[in-house]
Amino acid sequence: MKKRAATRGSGRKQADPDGSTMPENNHLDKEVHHLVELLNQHELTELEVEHKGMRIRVRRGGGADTIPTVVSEPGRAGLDRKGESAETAAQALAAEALATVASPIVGTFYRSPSPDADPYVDEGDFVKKGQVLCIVEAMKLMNEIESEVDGRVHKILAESAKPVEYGQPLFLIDPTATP
Amino acid sequence: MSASSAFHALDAKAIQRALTTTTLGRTLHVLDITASTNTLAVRMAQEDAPHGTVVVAESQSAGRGRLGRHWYSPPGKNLYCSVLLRTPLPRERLARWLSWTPLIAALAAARAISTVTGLSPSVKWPNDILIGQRKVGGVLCESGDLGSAAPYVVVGMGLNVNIQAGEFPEELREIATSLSAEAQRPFNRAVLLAAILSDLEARCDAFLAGHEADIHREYVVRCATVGRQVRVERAGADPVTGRATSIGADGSLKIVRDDGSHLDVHAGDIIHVR
Repeated sequence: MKKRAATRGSGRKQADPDGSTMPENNHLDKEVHHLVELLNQHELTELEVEHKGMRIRVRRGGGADTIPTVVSEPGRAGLDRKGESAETAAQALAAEALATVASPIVGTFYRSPSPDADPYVDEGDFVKKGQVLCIVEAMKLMNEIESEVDGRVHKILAESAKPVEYGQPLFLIDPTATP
Repeated sequence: MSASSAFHALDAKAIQRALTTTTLGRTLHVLDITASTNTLAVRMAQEDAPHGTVVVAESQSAGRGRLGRHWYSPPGKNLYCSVLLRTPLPRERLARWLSWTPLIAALAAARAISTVTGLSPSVKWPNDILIGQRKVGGVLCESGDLGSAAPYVVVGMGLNVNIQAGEFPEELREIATSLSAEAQRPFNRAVLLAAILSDLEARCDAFLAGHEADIHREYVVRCATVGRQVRVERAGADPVTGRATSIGADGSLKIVRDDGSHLDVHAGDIIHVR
């Protein structure tokens, strides 16, 4: 028996128009577990939900074993990704769980308080919520940009002393990492 | 103002007597010496000091400007102060507020100087205060808690008030001046500080009440950079020369390059080319 159910845009699971919302890791885990349960309970082969610009599809393999495949993708691109391995999917999930620190203003990005000082943070450093990550200067206003989460600096996305735009991602912080 | 009162040490009572503000300076810290009034005010901001807190010092041991540059801060003659502005603001208005605060600070300082001294200072974009071609004051702002409901901006100002022309270090003599050197008389720093705080409070209130266009107009009138041939030096980029044509709605300096192309400057050093 092959059944397929798709829920889309019902109740609070409405797609976010700009697809920008970053889901929380815990929430995502719960969602996936819930879907797997539904899949097994109703003996479905595939189940897909779309929520806040992210689509999650769980699928059972042909054999007796239940192998949920989770594909998460921001936005609407790439509708057919059934060939994804569980590993790739897991990586995609991990990427989604990173917190993005974006520039609140148009200006110049600086990684250190003055040109000859050490950078505030490097990739791999552990940071605390409220810790200064960088400065974005505009009109001689030095805007100290702080981490909004505890975690590890996964990636620095901007180059020091270069212009950055409003809303431009500057850092990826992995909130699941612990020292 | 009598000359005798001009040389008084700064004291909290004299400043408070002169204040006409509602909030700015109502929490006041007057110090003999501190490393930098901005550093101290930022620390106070992080420890939840109230909106309007003012730190003023007779001297700074590590006065600083943009990118950690040194600000010459001898004791007893000038004004070194920092004002904590903590404004509850919806996120979508934050960028505009942050980009305008330094310009508003320079505008307020220039207006207050004009009122107190009768001199006619202008503003070099974004926030240097000039008399003629020489710098009489500078502004350095630092913000934080940007992710919170009430982000703060610390507005730091250094103003050369009663220092004499000959007292500047050699390397500053050609580019710096003071109010007393220009007016040939000393000024009471408490009165001057109170006037700046009063003007700053009024301009911030107006801006936050939605009168951005009025502030923009006042700034352009005061700004000596608009209409000038300038060189723009930005970190990590080649210098650009062109004509400064106007101030953008976001406070940026609009330049038409010599080749006719356009450039919006948000951060950098501007040199007025003569």
